[in-house]
Parts: sequence; structure tokens; C-alpha cells
Amino acid sequence: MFSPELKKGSMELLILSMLDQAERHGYEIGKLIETRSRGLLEFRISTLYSVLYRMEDNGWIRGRWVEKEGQRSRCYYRLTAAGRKVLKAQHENWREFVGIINELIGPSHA
Amino acid sequence: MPDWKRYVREHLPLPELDDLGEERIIAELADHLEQSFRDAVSRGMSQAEAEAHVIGEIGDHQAAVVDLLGSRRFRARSSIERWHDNTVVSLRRKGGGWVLLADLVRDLHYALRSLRRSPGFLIVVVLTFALGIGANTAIFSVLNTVLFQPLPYPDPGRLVTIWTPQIGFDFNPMSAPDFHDYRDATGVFAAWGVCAPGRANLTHGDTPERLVNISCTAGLLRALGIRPALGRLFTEAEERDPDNRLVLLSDQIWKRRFGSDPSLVGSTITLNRESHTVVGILPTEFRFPGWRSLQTADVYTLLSVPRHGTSRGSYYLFGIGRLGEGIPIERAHQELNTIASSLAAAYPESNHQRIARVVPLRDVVIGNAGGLLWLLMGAVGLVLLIACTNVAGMLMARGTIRTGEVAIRASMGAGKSRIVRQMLAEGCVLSVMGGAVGLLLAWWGIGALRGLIPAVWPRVTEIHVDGWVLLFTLGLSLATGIVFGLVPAISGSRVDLTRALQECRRSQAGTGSKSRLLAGLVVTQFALALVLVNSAGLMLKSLWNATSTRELEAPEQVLIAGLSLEGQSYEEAAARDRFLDLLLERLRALPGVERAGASTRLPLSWGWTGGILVEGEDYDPEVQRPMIWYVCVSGEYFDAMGIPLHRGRTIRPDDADGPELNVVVNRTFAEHYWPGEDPLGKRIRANSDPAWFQAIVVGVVEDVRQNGLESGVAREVYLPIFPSFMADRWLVLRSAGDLTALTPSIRDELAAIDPEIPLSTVFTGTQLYDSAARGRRFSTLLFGLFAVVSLCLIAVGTYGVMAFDVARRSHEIGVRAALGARKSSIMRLVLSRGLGLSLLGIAIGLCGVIATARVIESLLYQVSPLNSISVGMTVGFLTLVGLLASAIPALRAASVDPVRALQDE
Repeated sequence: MFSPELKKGSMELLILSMLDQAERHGYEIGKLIETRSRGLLEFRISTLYSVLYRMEDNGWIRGRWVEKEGQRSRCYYRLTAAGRKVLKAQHENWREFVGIINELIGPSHA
Repeated sequence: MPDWKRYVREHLPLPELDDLGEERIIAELADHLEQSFRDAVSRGMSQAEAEAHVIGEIGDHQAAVVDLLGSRRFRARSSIERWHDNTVVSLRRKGGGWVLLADLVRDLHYALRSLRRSPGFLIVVVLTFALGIGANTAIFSVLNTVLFQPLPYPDPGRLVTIWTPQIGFDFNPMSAPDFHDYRDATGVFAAWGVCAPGRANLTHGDTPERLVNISCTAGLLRALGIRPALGRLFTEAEERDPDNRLVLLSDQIWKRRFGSDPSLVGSTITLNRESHTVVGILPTEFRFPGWRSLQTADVYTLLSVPRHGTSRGSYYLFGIGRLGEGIPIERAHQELNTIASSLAAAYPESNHQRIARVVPLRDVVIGNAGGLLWLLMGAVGLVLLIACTNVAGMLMARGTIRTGEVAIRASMGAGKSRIVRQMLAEGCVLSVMGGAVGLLLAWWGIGALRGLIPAVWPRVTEIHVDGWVLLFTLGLSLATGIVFGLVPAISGSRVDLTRALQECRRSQAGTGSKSRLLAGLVVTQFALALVLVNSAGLMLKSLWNATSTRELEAPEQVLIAGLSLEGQSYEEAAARDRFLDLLLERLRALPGVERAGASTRLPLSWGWTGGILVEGEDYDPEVQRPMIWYVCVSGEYFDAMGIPLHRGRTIRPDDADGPELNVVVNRTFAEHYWPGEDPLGKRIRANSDPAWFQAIVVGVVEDVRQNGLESGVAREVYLPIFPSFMADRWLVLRSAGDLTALTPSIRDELAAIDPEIPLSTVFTGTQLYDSAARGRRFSTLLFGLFAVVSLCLIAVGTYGVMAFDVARRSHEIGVRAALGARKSSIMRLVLSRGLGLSLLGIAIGLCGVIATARVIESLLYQVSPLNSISVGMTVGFLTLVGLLASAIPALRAASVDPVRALQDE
């Protein structure tokens, strides 16, 4: 299990990435992160939604209510243009960060 | 499966968030938990296990709430909102009908908050409602006081007036002998009596004062059911002694002239130079029922009606009675007419064809004020309708703009009824706020109205805002809020979710049906306004017709003052004549005075009428003769008053000296009796046996209206003598100088001859015309005011709808512009739509004008309700308003940038 701080720090990037290809509702985002991390990354419902609302407030994502056949209406989130820029920046940032960390910790443990 | 929405609502309270935020979180979290629950069940868990699992996923509920509130998106709640939440929650817990109340509180609260977010909209709508409701409240308060309040006497429904007109007439006072005969024979009244209104000269202290005096019998005051504040009323025994000089004082005169001295009761005061014993003081609130009024007389002297010695043909007594318990008015009418028949048989020379009429006192006091007030209420109702259609339009336009918001609410599970209710609540909140502001407007307006209302209307000074007015305003506000909020509410709740949620500007801007409804509202407004503006135009024309003709020459140079030659020294006609001649001589000598005369009646005023026989006619009591107006004049009355001479000459001092009087008649009289002949030298005499005067016509003067500005001119005779029963005189002076400066000089000259004769109100010829026009000015001013208000409202309303229309069609306009449409053709597109709507409204309004013609006709003077000039001008004016109101949106449309309009899309 990862520490909550580590998880929180990466949450925005994870959500932005999940929305990169398709629009998804909150439950789907949570489930996807959980499945793709083989259950290692799990978020509390309140954390997930508070981050979603904050991101929406920042204009990175936009939610809209959609009613689909046989379903009750759900709020689907999608990336905005601003969100796409943030995703790109955070992605690069993350890669650099991980690269440097790897560089720093690699030799001593090699 | 558990109700997850309920679970979230109850376990994750989010009181810090606004309504929309809370609803959204609840809906989203509940959906999340439900999916999680389904997954758990599909993985093989039991329902209970799955539920526990899902709740476990939430974790620490307190921490979850803190997390969610941490998202900045949602505004924090105020303490009032938290109080509201607690109220709603505690009401809901009570269950049953309390839930409905909780919903209502919630809806109202939501409405208030939602309106607070659009202060501009709020102010415009509240002011529009305020204008409509305020005007209605003001007029209703007049209606409420003047018409709806019962007369201020105990059991007023039993009070009636008694008249003895000839067949074919409505109102004629009684003669003294007739009164005695009726009183002796009838048993239908619990009490009744008669009165003769007049003036009395009070001599007390330094200045004499001419007071309003009502001479009345003991039975009349008993019939009214009044109790004196001090002392007692008159008794029937006192009434029988003609030498009794008793008086009751009004509270006002008692305070003003006698310093509220309680010892005045039992002591004497001097009225008309005779000592009168004060028997009582009447209560402050007492008003005497008069013709079309409730008046405040100053003093009430005891009237002893002589059984003998007065003519049966002299009608000067007004009868008021209280019907006996359980006796219907019809029975009184029947019984009095049986007596009238026997009197007609006994005294054919005076009572032939004379009947008795019993009329409810209320009808006499209120008179035709009721008709005008109801018409004003109708007019002001139209203003409210226009205001309401305006508001409905604004609400609908706002509803359309808020389609997105409504769609979100609907998608989160808010039922259609909930949405309608919320929008309805918004309408009611607006109308009640408008009602409150309107009440303030009305309060202010009532003060202004009191000054404008014809003073003779009953209870003008009492008009105020009372419980009924408040109830009326509240009811009206709620009703308008509900009725005119319902259409926009229903239309607003019809949201196409899929389209609305696509967040496309075009779909937000609303559907075609809404646009049609908005257009319908503009059409309705124009139709209503046309009726109102046309009525105002007709009223203005009537006012012009009534006031534009001034038959008197230079009335601004005429000064009029009244006096009353009462008392023992003036009992003989000769003494009065001497006094008047002397006074007129002194007045003529005053610097600046060009002419001075006197008369018993003024132009435009009521007066004395009687029958006349011309040469070739003989007296026959069975033949009904038309009534002729008598005016007694002396001095240079015609020149002073400015009545032009048509033929012959005016009255001279020696015209009463011979066996035949020399008289002057008006042009109508001469043309009626001697068409095409020379009227000078013709003989006339009174229609009585013996004739109380015989006369030769020596002059003809131009016509002057007798009874107000709007009466036709009747036949009139100017006599050179003053009959003994008429003590009141009008002094008429003409001066090119400062008239107001003359008043003290007149008082001085009067005091020099007799210091105990007071002068009554002094006014000019112009004021005589002004006071006669007051009633018509009042109604014209109100109709005009309503028309102006409605014009402003339709201008704003049309502008709003057209501006909205342009915003809605900005894409289409953009496309047109992109395809090369000229600015002028885009402007024409908008203008023609605005003009089309206003013309359609005007066309419908024309039908309204035809339909209401008969109603408005009663208010008009010398103008047809379908007057083509008035209708034409109104149509032109409204068309202009429609064009101007569409001009700004048209200019805006012409300046739409095609690139931006298409980008927005």
C-alpha cells in the first residue's frame, strides 16, 4: 500500500490521464484507477469527488449530466483544453521527477 | 437495495453548501454508492454484506464531509440559510402536512436566493409589479372607503331619504305642509324628520364667521341614531314651539371657536343676531349625510316646520328617515304614495302628479361616485394586466436563460412538479415583494389622491390603508404571482434534457414555442394598452370640451364673495335691498373696482327653479310646465360677471319699481319661446295663481351653463328682485388689478356697514371654473397617469422581448451577415418583427375599444367613444412606441459580428 500523501499528490494526474481518451463518470474513474493499479491505488469516495470538484472548479475538467438507455442520469467528466495542457505539463513533470528519483536512488541500490 | 440518496442525505450532512451544490453531491455520491453496491452483489456478496462494504468504503463520515466541503466550488452558507435548513429538517421530521410546509419554505428560500443572484432582474420585476399593484391598491383604498364602508350610523341599511318629485323626475325636496301630512299619516318609520341646509352668521369674539348650518327637526337626528358627545339632542316638544332657538355644535367649531369649553352646553351663542341655547356637542366623527357627500356642518339649529303659512308649492325640506324594524323599503314607498295620491286629490294646484320616492340614504350619499370608481378600478386593472404580462415575459425569458440550470436539477431527479413549484415560488416572491413596494407607493399616492379627489365625494379625508386594503394587496400580489408565474413556470419546466445538457448556446436559448409565447405577451400588452391609452385620449378630449369654453368674459378679473343677510334686522326684503345697494356703492368706489353686482346664484352652480308662463299660456295646475332657472340680480351683475349682452339692455335699479318687473332672459329662453321673433317687450309671468310676478323682457344675455360644466344650457330668467326667503347673496366684482388685494377692502367695507355680517370664502371667476372642472380633471389625470404607466411598461416589455429575440437569433443573424446580408436588411428584419407584433396587438386592441365603448361612454363629454381622431392618434402613438422599443435591439442585431456569432456556436 502507498502512503496517503503519495496517493493524493498523484491524484490529479491520474484523473486527468483517465479522462485523456474518453469521458467518464466518477465511479468509473475510481474503478479504472483501482483496476489498472491492480488494487494498489484506492481512493475514498469523498477524496475522489472533492478532487473532481476542485479540478472542475479550476476549469481542467467539465462535468455534464447524461441520461443513457436503462441508466439513471450520471455526471460524465471530460477534459477541457486547459485540462489537456495541465495533463501534458504534469505528465512531463512527473516523468522528470521519476527520472531524477530513479537516478538518485538507482546507483546505491544497484 | 438501500435508498442511497437518503443515506447520503442523512449521514453526510452538507449544511455549508448551497442548494444546487448539495443536490449535485447527493446525486453523484448516491449514484457512486449504488454502483459500488451492485458490483459487490454481483461479486457474490449478500445484500447486507454489500451494504456494509459500501458504507465501509466511505470510511470516516465526518472526515468525508470535511473533504467534500473542502472543494471550493460551492459557496458557504449564511446563518440564515442554516436556520432555514434546520427549520426544513425539523418540519420534515414531523411528517404529514408538515412536509408540504417544509417544501414550501424550501421553495421560497430557493426562490429568494436565486433572485438575489440577479439583482437587476429583481429590481425591474419588483418595480413593474409595484407600479401595477400600487396603483390598484391606491384606487382600491378609495373604493374601500368611499363605496364599501357602511355609512357611519347604527344599522345604516334602514336609513332612507324621502322625496316628492313630479312623475318623471327623481329628486325633489318636500314642502312644509306636505311634510306634516306625510308625518301624520305614515307609520313605516321608526323615526324621521327633515332638514334645510344653509348658512348662519356666528357672532363671537372679534370676527363674525359665516358657518355651515343645517336646520333640522328632532326626528331627523333621532333617525340617524347619533348620540351627542356632550349634552342632548333636540326633542319633539321643543320642535313644536317656533320661538325656540336651540343649537347643537359640531366638535370642530366647539374646539375652534369655543376652546372646548364644556360649560358652553346650556349657555347661549349668537347666530344670525339671535341668541341660541347650546343643547349639546356632537361627536368628533359625526358627519351629516348630504347630497353626494358626508359633510361636516358647523352647527345644527332646531327647525320648527310651520304647518300653516308656507306654500305647499315651496319645496325646500330634505327628508331622512329610519325604517321601522322589519319594514322593507317597498312598503314605505307604497304607503307614502298612497298618501301622495290623497294629497294630489286634495291639493291639485300643487300636488297634481306629485309622487313620493323613498331612496336608500346610501344611494343619495354615494351617488355616481361609484360608477367612476369602478371604471377607474377597471382601468387600473388593465395597468396591472400589462405589468403582469411584462413580468411573465421577463420570467419566461429568464426561465429560458436558466434552461441549463433547470436541466441539471431535472437530471438530478427533481420532478417536474418540484421545478414548477420552485419557479412558481419565485413568481410569488417577486409579486409579494412588488406588492410591498406597491403598498408604499399606494400610501404615498393616497395622500396625493386625497388632494385631487372632488371634495364633495363622501369620506375623502378618511381614505387610508386599512386591514382590507392590506388583505387586498396581499391577495392581489399572490394571485398575480401565481397566475402570471404559472405560464413561465410550466414553460420553463419543459426542458429537453438531452439538448439542454449539450451546453450549446443555441439550445439554451430556448425553443420556438417559448418565443411564440413571448410574442403573444407583447401582442397582449399592445392590445390592453390601446384600450387604456385611447380611453385616456377620450378623457382628455372630454376635459378639453368641458373646459375650453368659458362663456364669461375674462373670468380672471372676477372676484366673488358670499354673505348671508340673516337676522331680525334683515327680515324685511327692503332692509336687505338697502344694505346691498349701500354695500355695492361702497365697493364700486374702491380703487381698481370697475363693476360691482350681486346675485343669488353663480354660473355653473345649482339654484332655484320654477315654472313660467308666456303670453298665450294660462295657469293650469294639471299641466306640467318645464322648470326655468331663476337668478335674482342687482347692480352691474352682468358686466361684473362678464356675461355678454345679446339684445336689449341689462337690469337697472328701477326695474322692480313698476307693477310689472323688467327682466332679462338668456338666449336659449328667447329662442325657445319666440323663435325668429323679437323677444324684447314680450310678457311672462310666474306659473302660479295668482302669479307672484309679472314681467316684461327688456334684454337677452348670452347663455351660461347652470349646473356644472357638462350640463346643457337651460332656459333662465334674471329677476331684478330678491325673494324674502333667500338670505344668501353673492357679491361679484370686476377689476383689472390685483384681486387678492381687494379682499381685505371688501371686509372693511362690509364691517363699516354691519360688523356682524361675515364674508364667506372669496374666490375668482377662474377658480369658479377650476372647481367645476375638478371632478373631470381628477378622472382624466388618473386615466392619463395609467396610460403613461402602461406605455412605459409596454415599451420596456417590447424592448426586453425584442432584445431577447435578437440574442436568441444571434446565430441566424450571424449566418445572414456572413452570407452578405446588409446591416439595413438585418435591422429591417428585427424592426418588422417588433412592428408586426405591435400592429397585431393594436388590431386586437381595436376590438377591445369597440367592446368597451359603452362602458367608457358614461365618462365622456361631447366626444364619441369611437372617436376616429383619438383612436387614430393612439394607434399612431403605439406604433411609434413599438418601433422605438425595437430600435435598440435592431441596432444591436445590425452590429452582430458574424465571426463571433458563429464561433460562439
